[in-house]
Amino acid sequence: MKRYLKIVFCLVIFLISNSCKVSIKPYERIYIDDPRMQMHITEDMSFQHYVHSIREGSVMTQAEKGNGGCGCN
Amino acid sequence: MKRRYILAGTLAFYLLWVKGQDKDTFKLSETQIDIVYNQYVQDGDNSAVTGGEGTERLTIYGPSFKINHSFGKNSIGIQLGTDVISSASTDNIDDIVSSVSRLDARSYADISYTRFLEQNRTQITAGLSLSIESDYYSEGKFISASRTSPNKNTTFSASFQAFNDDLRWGRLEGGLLKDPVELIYPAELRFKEWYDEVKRNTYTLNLGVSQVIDARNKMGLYGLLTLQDGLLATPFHRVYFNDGSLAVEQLPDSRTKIGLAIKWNSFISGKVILRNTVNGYVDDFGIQSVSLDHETSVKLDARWALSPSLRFYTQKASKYFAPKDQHDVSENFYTSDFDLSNFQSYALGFAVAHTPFGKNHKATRDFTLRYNYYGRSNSLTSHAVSFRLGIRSRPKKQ
Repeated sequence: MKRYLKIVFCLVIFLISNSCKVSIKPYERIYIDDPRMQMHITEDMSFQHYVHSIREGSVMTQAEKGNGGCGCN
Repeated sequence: MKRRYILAGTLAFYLLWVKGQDKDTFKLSETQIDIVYNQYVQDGDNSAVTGGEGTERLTIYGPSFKINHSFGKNSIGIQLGTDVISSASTDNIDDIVSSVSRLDARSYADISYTRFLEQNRTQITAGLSLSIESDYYSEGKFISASRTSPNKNTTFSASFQAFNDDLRWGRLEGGLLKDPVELIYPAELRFKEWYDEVKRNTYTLNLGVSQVIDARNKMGLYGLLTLQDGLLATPFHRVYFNDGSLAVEQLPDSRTKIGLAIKWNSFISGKVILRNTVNGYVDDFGIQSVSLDHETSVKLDARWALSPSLRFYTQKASKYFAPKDQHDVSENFYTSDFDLSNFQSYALGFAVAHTPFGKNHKATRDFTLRYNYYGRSNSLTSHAVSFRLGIRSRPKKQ
């Protein structure tokens, strides 16, 4: 478990430190700013996550209603 | 000569006025509406209502409506929806075929307020939610915040949700929001009260960071911590023991859940977007799981996109789970709910999205149609269809 947490911690530090090195010109942002490139869960996908949270014993990270609000796990 | 001085002076004054213009003078208002319809059909042979064996046939009809109005640095959102549930398994709670337990409806609503700060780099949202069905009532509160770096390459996010639920039946009998009456047990087990608690509390903390790797790649790391306490079992789930006796499901009165997800989105070849997620999960019920999600989004042209998707999931059973007739009466906690068992599942999906294109419209419309097939190694299968219609008014100057 401690080794697992160390790996996650190193990954977070790596991601944050890279923010200082990445330089993207405004005209190059058309790809990164595309709606389908964003990390959030869209409205049409949120129902799939809701179904998974009911029919499986786990909860998906970022799921809106992964817990509470219904008579499910 | 004087005309030249007047012209130069006017031009210089104009440029000075423009430079000193407050960037927030032009406040915009925009309204966004999402109309969603979800249809879910399921079948299987391991219903927990009948002790781990029996039909799991179920259909959900789920319309919802969401409106979000932003004005200046503020935004208000309201969501209303209902899930009409027709379930063959809950019809087996009592001995009456096609009884009232076959059909139920869950209605829900939430309202939220968002404040944008620091040129929209920081966003804070707070809200309330309510959910009610015949045997479940839930009040929710949530708050979230996100902050983007000045170069827009890094975004930190955090959210906290609290749900306070009541599992008693009766709030919808003979009217609306009546006092709750009692927990619903299987018909033959109503000779005593099986639990000391009727309420359930859930607290969830989500943390995340996303980072732009280069012009075409973005990664994210997200963590989840959930604490639950109260009545975590389902009152109408039966458990059959190896000596032939029968009882109601019993689970501990607290549960801790931890999840971690890594996401990687990549834009390749100008028209194809790959979305990948790895989710890991562990809790103190003994459940451990990993899921692998992939979606390929192909832009056919400026308006249409097709998105096939694939998901694989594997789960290790809870230490409290055993199939029908395999629990021992000496156990303190026991369940035959196959949602908590050992299994693998796969999901295949397909989505069609249409994005508006063109000018001279007061509002833009876009829609997404998504289908998903889900199959589990213990025979449960389901089909889900989701349709979303989005209507967005053109930003207006206030």
